[in-house]
Amino acid sequence: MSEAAFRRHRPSPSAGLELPPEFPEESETDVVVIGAGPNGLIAAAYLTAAGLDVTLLERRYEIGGGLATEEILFPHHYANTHASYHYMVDYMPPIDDFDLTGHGLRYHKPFGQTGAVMGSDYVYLCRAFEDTRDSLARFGLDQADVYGAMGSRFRTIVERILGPATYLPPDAPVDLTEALQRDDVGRDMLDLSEQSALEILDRYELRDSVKATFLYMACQWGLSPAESGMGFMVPLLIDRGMQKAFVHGGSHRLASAFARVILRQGGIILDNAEVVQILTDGERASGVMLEDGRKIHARKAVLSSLDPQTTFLHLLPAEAAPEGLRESARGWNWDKWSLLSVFFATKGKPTWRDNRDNSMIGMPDPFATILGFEGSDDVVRFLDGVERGELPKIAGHFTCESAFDPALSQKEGEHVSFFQMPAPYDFPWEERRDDLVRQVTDLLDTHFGGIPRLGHAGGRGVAEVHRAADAEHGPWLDQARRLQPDPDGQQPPQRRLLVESHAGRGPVPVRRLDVPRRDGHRWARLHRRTDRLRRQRDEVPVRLPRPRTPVPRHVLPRRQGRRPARLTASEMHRGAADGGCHPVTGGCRKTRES
Amino acid sequence: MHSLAHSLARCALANGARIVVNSPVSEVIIVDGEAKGVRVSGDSLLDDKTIWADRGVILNTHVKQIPDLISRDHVNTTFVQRIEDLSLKGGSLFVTNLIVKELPVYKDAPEEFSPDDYPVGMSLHCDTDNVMELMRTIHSFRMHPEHPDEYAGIWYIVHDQHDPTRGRAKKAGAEGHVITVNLQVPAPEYHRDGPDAVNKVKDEIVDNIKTVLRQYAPNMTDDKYIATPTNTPYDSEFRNMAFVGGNWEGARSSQDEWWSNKPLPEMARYRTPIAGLYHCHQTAYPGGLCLIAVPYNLMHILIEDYPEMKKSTPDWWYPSPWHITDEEGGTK
Ligand SMILES: Cc1cc2nc3c(=O)[nH]c(=O)nc-3n(C[C@H](O)[C@H](O)[C@H](O)COP(=O)(O)OP(=O)(O)OC[C@H]3O[C@@H](n4cnc5c(N)ncnc54)[C@H](O)[C@@H]3O)c2cc1C
Ligand SMILES: Cc1cc2nc3c(=O)[nH]c(=O)nc-3n(C[C@H](O)[C@H](O)[C@H](O)COP(=O)(O)OP(=O)(O)OC[C@H]3O[C@@H](n4cnc5c(N)ncnc54)[C@H](O)[C@@H]3O)c2cc1C
Repeated sequence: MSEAAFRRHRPSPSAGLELPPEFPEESETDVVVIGAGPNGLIAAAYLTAAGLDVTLLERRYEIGGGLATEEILFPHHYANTHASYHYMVDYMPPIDDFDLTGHGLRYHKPFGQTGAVMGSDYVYLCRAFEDTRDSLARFGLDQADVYGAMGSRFRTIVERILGPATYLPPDAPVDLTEALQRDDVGRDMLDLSEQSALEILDRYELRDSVKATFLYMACQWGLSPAESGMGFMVPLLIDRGMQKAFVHGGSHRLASAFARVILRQGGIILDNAEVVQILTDGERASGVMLEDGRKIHARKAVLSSLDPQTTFLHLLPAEAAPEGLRESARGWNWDKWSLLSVFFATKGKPTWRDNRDNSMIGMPDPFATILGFEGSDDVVRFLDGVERGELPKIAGHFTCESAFDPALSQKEGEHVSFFQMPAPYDFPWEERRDDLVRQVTDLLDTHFGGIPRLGHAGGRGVAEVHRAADAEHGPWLDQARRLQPDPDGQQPPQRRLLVESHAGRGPVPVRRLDVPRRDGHRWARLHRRTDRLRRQRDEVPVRLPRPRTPVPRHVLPRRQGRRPARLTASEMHRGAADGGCHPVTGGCRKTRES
Repeated sequence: MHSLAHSLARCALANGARIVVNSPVSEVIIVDGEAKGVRVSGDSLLDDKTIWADRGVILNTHVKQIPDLISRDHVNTTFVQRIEDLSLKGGSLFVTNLIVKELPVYKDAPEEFSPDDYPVGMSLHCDTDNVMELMRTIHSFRMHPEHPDEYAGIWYIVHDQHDPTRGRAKKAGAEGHVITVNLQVPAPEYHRDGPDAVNKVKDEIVDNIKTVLRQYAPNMTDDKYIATPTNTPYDSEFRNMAFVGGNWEGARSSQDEWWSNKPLPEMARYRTPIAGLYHCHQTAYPGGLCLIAVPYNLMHILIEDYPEMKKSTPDWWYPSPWHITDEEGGTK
């Protein structure tokens, strides 16, 4: 922009509040997407890629929804307030389709995946199958064998069916069952679907502590131990539960990566833009109205990433709803329980008191550690209680996130962790808050050698630290609202982990799974894609862009003393200055003209 | 085996290669994301020299050494972390060479099993339960076997019966045979009591091996031993920096680290995150032992990446008929 043009656009000081509106009162676009959580973002990314005009609307001050990473404790300490464990990265097509790993998005799967202190046993499960067998063999060689049989059965079902099928639109249950019945693995999966998590695990002669660990892994996100008909979730949650990844730098990076794609492809993202009504024109959704009265008309479609009740009972005017829709939305069930999360900032990494078996000394810490349970009956009793709306005791899973992702704490030596547990949604949280935090702290204290206190609150207990943090920095006790609309607008309504795309019951969509017979080539392609995804998933070569003229050898950085030569920051950026993308962030340098 | 190394070296020299020994590489030089040469460590024969490579650099080092050789500015943190996570379990060997005055004579052995005709390799103490328990001791409890009874599946090689050139002592007029004994122990990194735990009990382990041998061959009394030079996994690593963990398979052969995941998915076809840098060690696919498969497979990839090589490869080269290039859809 020329100097003169800039002056013309700059409001004169006297214009005061008459700034031109950031966004017009009425505007038009091809598609309006409501909600910028992962699902809204990815939808907008595909639609902009397809050449459509897209406006993505987010109620909060920041996009991301469940992919939030925020400084809820103290400045410089980031916490993933909702999603931190990414189960399906080996299969997710959008990451590949938008080449996100080429733009600074990095996943990492820790070696130690799940640990559980169960009664007097310490169960330790790793990313590598054989290493998990080794670990279970501590309890007897039979345990390694039983796990070997169970684990490979589960893995086959996930790799052949559930993994790829997660990324296919659902088919009618009849077609699905028919397709599954044509295949050995499919029949096995149908068989599992009929059973409850408890029944499935009972078929294996697992030691109780090991069974309890798998039971918790299968049920921690909302499956009841005795519930049948959803048995296919058991292999999925157990197998993928040992393949959890996290996004380096916080889950929000995944959201920002998609936001960049949308913007690059010409989409518009508005935050602080709450949709209060879906506008209709006859039987068509024709746009939305925002809280401040602005209207955005949609030439082609309105896409809601919110739950059915918010969408069809609150946003869509009753008179516009086709017959039966409202009843059907009312009949949609919320999840049976929610999650309670307590976040901690600590000085130093929580270290084990080492009441664990000494053959585990020096093994890499597990990403998630299950604490507070005695055995499988205890897990069942606990979840039953939660389902009835009680909080029978404090037990759940713990992760010190910054121990795996140092970017989450930018203060040397300080760490962020969270403790999370299934909990009822309706509960006297306000009254019980202090008491609960104390109990959580006590539980952690029995396992970790007293969590060192954060400097900011020297001399006080962890609970006080967090009370102080609460006062100064907002909420630390986050009653997560899984599957619940959110009355005070703080937290995004969350839907059930991993099952969200098929909210109705019944087996997942897998009709195309008999493709190998009809069309081996396509099947092979699917596998190849998965293979390639896996390869790219956690690793991106950081390729520095080539400068236009080759650097003459004599000016190459030369090692001084024993220090290895590194490219300097300016050398790293030289590529960007030439118009390329930044090698790490993928950001492009703005040219002077723009 | 060293004769094989010599013949390969002669072959390379005849074709114009240069071989420089005593020259540990301390760093791969990377320019614009491409490997452009290596720097040789200051205390070597080449004295801190740089060798520039026009086309590329091939690493014959253990995958775990790679992070030390390339500046971390060029790879992301998860790459390094995942290399650190790779499992070394499963093949760390405690190797002792028993130099003995006479060969073992086994009690209750059938007559045709005579010292003149022993097989190359033999195992002792080898029933399934023993072996499984040993694996459990090593992999689950991360300990070496402590009692002779636990020394399952010791396997050993009687050298000079089959290769008289090995029996140097005999040639020199002394009576003697060499028996190489291998026993599995945890990789130093995984030992519960620290990496030098096995080194601390080296003599005890050798004594236990002798005890086991004597249970089967009563003639192997202490006076029959001339010397027992021994390498723990830690010692092997010390002698050859590429034997990380003293693992004879390089790294664990497990389904998560196998096939197109070996050693890491993005390196399965011998390429690395750095353009022009290739990995050609037993830790690459298909893995351990002197199979010579890694460099042969790598040739296919190099010819894909440097099409000009197609012209310069003489008639003797033909690719494996099963090779699917990237272009044909091998990985893309
Ligand atoms: C405590 C907790 C822990 C979790 N842990 C994990 C985990 O470890 N791994 C995992 O995979 N998943 C986890 N989940 C689930 C995961 O976060 C959700 O499945 C995911 O975020 C759903 O994405 P979405 O895009 O459908 O919805 P959301 O992420 O909820 O996004 C919806 C967006 O819409 C916005 N919005 C709402 N109303 C309006 C409106 N009227 N107008 C405009 N915008 C609006 C919201 O502000 C929000 O940003 C967890 C959830 C919770 C609650
Ligand atoms: C105890 C033991 C017993 C074994 N027994 C057998 C057997 O009976 N049969 C069998 O087939 N295989 C056996 N093996 C395996 C076999 O030795 C290996 O598979 C084989 O040597 C691997 O070859 P390589 O070329 O990949 O690596 P290596 O032989 O390890 O060669 C790597 C070379 O690179 C050099 N190097 C490392 N770092 C640098 C650097 N920075 N700069 C310069 N040079 C460097 C090293 O010094 C070494 O010479 C055994 C291994 C061990 C440890």
